[in-house]
Amino acid sequence: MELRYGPTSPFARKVRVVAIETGQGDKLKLVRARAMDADTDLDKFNPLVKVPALTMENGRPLYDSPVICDYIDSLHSGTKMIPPSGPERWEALRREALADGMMEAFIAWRRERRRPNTGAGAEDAEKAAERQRAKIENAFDTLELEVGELQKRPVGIDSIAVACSIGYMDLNGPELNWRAKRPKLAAWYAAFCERPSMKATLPEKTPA
Amino acid sequence: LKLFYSPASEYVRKVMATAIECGLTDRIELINGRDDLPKHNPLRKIPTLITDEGRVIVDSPVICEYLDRLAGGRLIPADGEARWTALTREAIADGVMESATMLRHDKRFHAGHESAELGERYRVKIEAGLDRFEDEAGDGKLDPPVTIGHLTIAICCGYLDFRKIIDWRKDRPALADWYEEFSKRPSLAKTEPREYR
Repeated sequence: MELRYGPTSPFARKVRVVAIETGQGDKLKLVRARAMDADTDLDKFNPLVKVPALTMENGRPLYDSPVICDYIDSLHSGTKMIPPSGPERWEALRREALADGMMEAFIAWRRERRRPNTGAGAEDAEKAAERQRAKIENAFDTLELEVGELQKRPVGIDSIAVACSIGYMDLNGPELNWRAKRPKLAAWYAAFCERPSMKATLPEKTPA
Repeated sequence: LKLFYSPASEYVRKVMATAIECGLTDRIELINGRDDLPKHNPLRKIPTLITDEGRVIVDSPVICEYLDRLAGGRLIPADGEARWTALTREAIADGVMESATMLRHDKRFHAGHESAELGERYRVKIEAGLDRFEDEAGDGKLDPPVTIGHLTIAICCGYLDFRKIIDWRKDRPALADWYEEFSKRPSLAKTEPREYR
């Protein structure tokens, strides 16, 4: 299997961590790709020109990180990162969506802040950026309350998604200073980062 | 089941269309107000589903899967090639809608000095996603059995019309024909988008 990944992408990191945690790290052939590169061929693998993009063992493309993680998790017979059914499944998928959604809010917030805006929509844009910021804070608050849930299993799709999102925000948004009011989450995250899968996939800072 | 809802949201439409396909509409209570939403979903996004046990389900692909499983699996194949094809189509159609939404935001928030570079980047994704669907429609790959992928492609086309994003039918006759026929399904005909009032 070939994975097109970006060295900074938290969604690609999620896929790589799932592969390593399920003993399939060596099945993934990593191909570095960046949507922003002028000569990128990423569009051949994903019409949306986004990483991560996987080419399955049968040569067909697979897209979107939750779907790729689902596929990789279906290829092994060990402990599943995504619980196959029952309340645990929906709980894990809810928290994965929370982590992914928080990441999207962060990206939107950052993009809006870096962009000068003096036009008619400036006030709306500022309000929209503030709304994104509020979402990020609320998501951190929710995760702080859910640390006990995260600790129930040593590793799963939700803890992986949460840790990859936090890793990206730490690197690109230190001013969030999220640890100040979330000591339990901070302690959980520090311990989770000791996993070899996390150490093997450390991100690079995204160019501004 | 309770669903935080808006008649203008394309992602809510996915959930509603799935509920109709799965015969579950009678079990879903629609909640129009947003007052209680932050309590259940810190990201304040709709659709958000509350199950009969009080469990919160968010993100349209996850909600659709939950409903589909309640109905015994009508739209999402459980495994194999069919599953990955359906879910990848859903993800690409969702991605096209996301790019279309970004274009709308750019116009609204940066009126008069929209970013040509960003606009171009979104347009490339929209066009390329639609080109993929045109190829699939032309090759008969969108023939039944119907999956969540088909529903999402049709909802994506409907969204581009509703928000007048681009003239997607131009140069895509096979997709246009497929959409014309497919959107007669009750799950789509009964969920046409309208402005939220």
